[in-house]
Amino acid sequence: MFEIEIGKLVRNTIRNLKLGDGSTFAGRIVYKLDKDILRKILNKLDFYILITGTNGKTTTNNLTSFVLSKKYNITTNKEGANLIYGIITSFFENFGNVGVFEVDEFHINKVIKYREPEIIGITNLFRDQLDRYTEVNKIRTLWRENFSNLKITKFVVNSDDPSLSYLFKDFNTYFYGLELSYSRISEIENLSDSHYCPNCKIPLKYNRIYYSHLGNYECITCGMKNPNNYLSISDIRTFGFNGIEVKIKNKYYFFDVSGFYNAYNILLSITICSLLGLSIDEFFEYSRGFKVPFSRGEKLKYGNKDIILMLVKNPTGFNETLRIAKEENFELLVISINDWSADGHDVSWLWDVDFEENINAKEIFLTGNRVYDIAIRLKYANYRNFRIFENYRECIDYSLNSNYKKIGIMATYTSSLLIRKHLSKYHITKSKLQ
Amino acid sequence: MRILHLYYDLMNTYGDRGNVIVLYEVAEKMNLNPQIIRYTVGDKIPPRSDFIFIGGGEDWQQEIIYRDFMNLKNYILEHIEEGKPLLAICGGYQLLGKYYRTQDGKIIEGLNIFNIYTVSGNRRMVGNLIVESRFGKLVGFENHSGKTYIEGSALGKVIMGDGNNSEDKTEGYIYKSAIGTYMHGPFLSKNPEIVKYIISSIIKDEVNLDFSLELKAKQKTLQFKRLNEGRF
Repeated sequence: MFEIEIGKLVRNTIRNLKLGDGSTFAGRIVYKLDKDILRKILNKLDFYILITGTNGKTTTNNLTSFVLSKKYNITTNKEGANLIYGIITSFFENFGNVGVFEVDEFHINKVIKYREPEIIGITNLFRDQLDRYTEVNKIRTLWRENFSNLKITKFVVNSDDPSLSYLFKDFNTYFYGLELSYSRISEIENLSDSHYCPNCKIPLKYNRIYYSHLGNYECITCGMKNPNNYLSISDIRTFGFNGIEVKIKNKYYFFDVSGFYNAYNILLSITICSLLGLSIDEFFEYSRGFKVPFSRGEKLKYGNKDIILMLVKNPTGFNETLRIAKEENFELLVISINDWSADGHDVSWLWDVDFEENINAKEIFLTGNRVYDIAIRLKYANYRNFRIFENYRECIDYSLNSNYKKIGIMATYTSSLLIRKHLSKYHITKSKLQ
Repeated sequence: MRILHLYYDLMNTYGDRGNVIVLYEVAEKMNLNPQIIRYTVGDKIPPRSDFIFIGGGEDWQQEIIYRDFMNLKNYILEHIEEGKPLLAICGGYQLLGKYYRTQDGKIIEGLNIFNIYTVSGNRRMVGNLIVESRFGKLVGFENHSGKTYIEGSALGKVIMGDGNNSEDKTEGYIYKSAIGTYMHGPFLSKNPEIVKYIISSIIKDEVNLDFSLELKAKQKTLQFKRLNEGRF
């Protein structure tokens, strides 16, 4: 196709001139030339899958496309460029016969109008970037209105989220969820938005809580409870940043992705692949060698230092990241908070994060253009051993020259890109933490 | 010192609980023996308290609390008339007023304690907000579409942002020691002047604590744009 050739040319030019990786710009140019381009290219695929939700989109998308690439020729937007431009650009990378794309939860209507996806996988729905979405409920409304027009799409949905199980009960839905015999936390987290019965508006009774408002719930008035799962996980073992083990149908499987929450992402990916005919053993086999996406628990080595990069975007994700970090016993934590568009302009969410219970690092270095906001948050969480760096480069230089051997870096999106760029000035290698 | 946190599990959009955390920690440092009473729909009407906080919520959450909140009218009115401090943010602030008029003209009555009313607007007012007040400059972040019109004292005058309605440059409302504001989330965290005001009005004495970090944060915020953007 002519447009594809132009797209490739633009993308290559951007890369050759080192103007960036061109993961959205090329798509934007081609879209400007042909507003109908997405319809044309999506319709050339045999079928396609969309992954959406608040947290876990990139990991689920990358894992799913990694596994399916053993069976199909896949087009995917694995850099996390999840607006239509990013999806268009992914066709310049490889024009396969099956599409696997992550798409922004507030933007999905702009993709599905061109072609019904065969499968839509939903990770979860938490409060996130409210300066952009304004209200969590706006996303549910957008989904309800746009998904009800779809005729062939199969939805794969997290059953442990009451608002999602309620919203998707009348769709063609395959639920997945945890069926653990224990609670992971004792109380619904402060940041939860969906722990009331969507039907009766009274608090749900939770028999088990896994994280945020995800758990085993029932409404004592209308009887609403977790729907039956198509696939479930009955036990989870976490090993800090060294992967997790999940028990599915009485068998344990180890995955080199870290954090309790990733059990959900793995399960969503398995369920999607299972709908395409893969067995769980096949999935596990095909997933060998899968690497976590950029900054999502990425392990680096500098001299005798082990460094782990973690992206923090919203309170739910930050809490979960703090929990893994606690298991990992970092000596030094670096927390970098920016408030640019891609991070969310409003940093109020830092007060929804439970720093009080979840910090065991000896020292914390703080930076980002919102460094004072995070400093005050830590002060009021009664953690005082922090140091403020108004310049993030200085902060990273200081960290790498410190005596600390185990360093965790938690950064918002734009600041993780900046830090990554600055780290490239050092002799950093990819490492496998032992 | 008893801090009453109203509808902690519903009216808690984006970090509103930060205000309760800040007040609790300051009171703790001052040996005021703070105690947080968490109240939600259906709970018994709480014993008298020294400070009341209510945050903001989405429409569905406000619908859930509405009837229950109306039942608290006398409790809150007595509290305010006695000159005790209260802080209400965003949705909580609107509900203390006379009414809220929705997009389709429906009138939802408020507690009618604040002499204010709110009409639904069609533009979302989002961004860093800076106001000049009798307490000095106050900083925060706003995110609302309701436009509030007041009769009486504003909390301050808008220097940057929209404030109550983006028309008359007013932001917030103050009546006796009760404050309403659109600076949502952790309003008290960077405005220690208000923390001092609240605590002083309870203990009738001065607050002498080190707030230099908070004031430094405020200084930085005063240089912010309405919406910040950086360069790669």
